Amino acid sequence: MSEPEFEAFLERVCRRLRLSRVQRGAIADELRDHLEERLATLATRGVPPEKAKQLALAEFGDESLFALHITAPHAQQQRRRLMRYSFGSTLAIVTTFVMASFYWPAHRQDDAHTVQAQAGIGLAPAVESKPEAIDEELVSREELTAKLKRRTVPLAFDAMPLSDVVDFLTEAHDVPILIDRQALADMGIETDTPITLKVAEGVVSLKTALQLVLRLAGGGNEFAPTIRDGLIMLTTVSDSYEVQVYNCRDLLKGVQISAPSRGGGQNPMGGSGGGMFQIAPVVGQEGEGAVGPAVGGEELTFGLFSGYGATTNAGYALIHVIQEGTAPGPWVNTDGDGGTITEFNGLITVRHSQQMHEKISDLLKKLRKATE
Amino acid sequence: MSQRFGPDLLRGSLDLMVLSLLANESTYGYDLQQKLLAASGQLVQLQPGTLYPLLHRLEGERLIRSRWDDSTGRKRKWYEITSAGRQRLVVQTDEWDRYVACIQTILAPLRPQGAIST
Repeated sequence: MSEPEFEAFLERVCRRLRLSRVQRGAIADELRDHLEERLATLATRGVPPEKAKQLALAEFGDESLFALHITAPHAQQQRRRLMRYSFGSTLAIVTTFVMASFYWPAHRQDDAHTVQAQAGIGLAPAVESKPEAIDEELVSREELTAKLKRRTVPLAFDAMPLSDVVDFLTEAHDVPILIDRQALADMGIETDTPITLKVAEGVVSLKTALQLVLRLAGGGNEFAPTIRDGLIMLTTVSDSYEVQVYNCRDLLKGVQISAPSRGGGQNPMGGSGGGMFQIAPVVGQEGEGAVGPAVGGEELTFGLFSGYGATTNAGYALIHVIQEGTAPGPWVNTDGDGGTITEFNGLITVRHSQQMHEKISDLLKKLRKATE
Repeated sequence: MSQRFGPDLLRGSLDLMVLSLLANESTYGYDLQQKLLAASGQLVQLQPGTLYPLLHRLEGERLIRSRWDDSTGRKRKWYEITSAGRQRLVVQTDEWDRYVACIQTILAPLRPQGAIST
C-alpha cells in the first residue's frame, strides 16, 4: 500500500477520468509507481518525507487538467474505433445496395450503358445522361489514381507488420487503403507478416511502394492495389478484374489490309510498311478456325477467329498489338488463364485488372498520337 | 517542464525525444523522465502531467506499446517502441533535420560574421 496522500490523489484523479474501471485502475497503478519512485529518489537526496510527498504530487500539476489530458488519448481511440466500425458498416450497406441494384431486373438493361459510360464511349443521346452516382465514382477514382501516382514519403520499415505498414501509408498519404484479408489468408499470408523495406523519399510512387510491400509479404505479382468503392483495396489481381470497353473505331478506320512482303516476318506490324497494320489477306474461310499469325510461314493468315474474339482482321490485329504491347498478360486466349479481350464493330471489350486497363489506355493513347 | 526552452519550442519535438529514447531500450515512465533529463543535459524536464498523457497518446497511435511487470513487487508499466514508431522516428528525424537547416538558413544573416553554426 502506498502513501495515504498518494492514494487520495489517485482517487481524486480517477474520479475525474471518464474511462472504464479497468482503464482507471491501470492509470492509477502507473501513477502510483511513478509517485513511489519519485518519493524514493527524493528521499535519497535527503528531502524530508512530508516535503518529498508534496513535491512528488505537485509535479503532476492541476488534478483536473491532468485528468483531462490523460483522458483525451483514450477518448480519441474510442472515437477512432467507432469511426472504423461506422465506416465498415456504411461500406457494407453501400455494397449491399449496389449489389442489389445491379441484380434488380429493372436496372439490368442499363448495364451495358454503364460500362460504356465508364469507358468514355460516345453514346446515343437517349443514354448519354449518366447516373449521378457514376459521376461521383469517377471523380473519386481520379483522385485515388492521382494519389497512387504521387511520390512516397521516406520508408524505413524494419520488420514492421504488414497491417502497420498499410496503416502508416494510409496516414502518410491521407488515402484509405484496405487489405483484403480473406484474399491474403487464402494465399497463406498473415496481416502481421513482417515487412522490411527502405526507400528514400520520392524514389517510387505510392502504387509502386504498395506493390513492393505486397511482394515482400509473399504475394508475388498476385496482389495489386485496386481502386474500388472509393478505396484502394489490396486484393488479388484476379479479384480486381473489371470490364472496360474501348472505342477503337478511329484506330481501325484507316487500317490497310494488304499482303505482307515476302519474308517480311511474322509480325503483323511488319510487312511492306506504310499502313498502321499491314495484315495479310484472309485466307481461311469464316468459321474454319484458321489461326494467325502463322509462325514461320511466308504469309500471315487471318480469318474470323472466334478464339481470338475478333470479327475483323483489323480487329484481330489490334488485339494482337494490345496483347503484345502490354505483355505479360495473362490472357485466356494465349496463356489459358487470365483476362479476356474481344472485338466487335470497332469496340474492344476487355475484362482484366485495373493495372492492365491502365496499360491498355496508355498504349491506345500512344497509338493515337502516332497516327496524328 | 524546464524553463530552459520555451514550451512552444518543445511542444513540437517531445514525440521525437520520447521515441528516440525508447528506440534505444524499453523503459517505464519515471525512468524515461530521468533519462530525458540526463540526455538533454538537465535542460528538458518533462513533468508527469505532460509525460503520461504523451505516452498514452503515442500508445494510442500504436507508435509505442506497453506491458505490465510486477516482478519487483510493484506493478510497473513498461513501454517499448513499435515498428510504426521507428518508422515515425525516421520520418520525424528527417523532417527535424530539414527544419533545423531551414531555420539556420533564415537566421544566418542575423549571426555575427565568423560565427559557426552547428
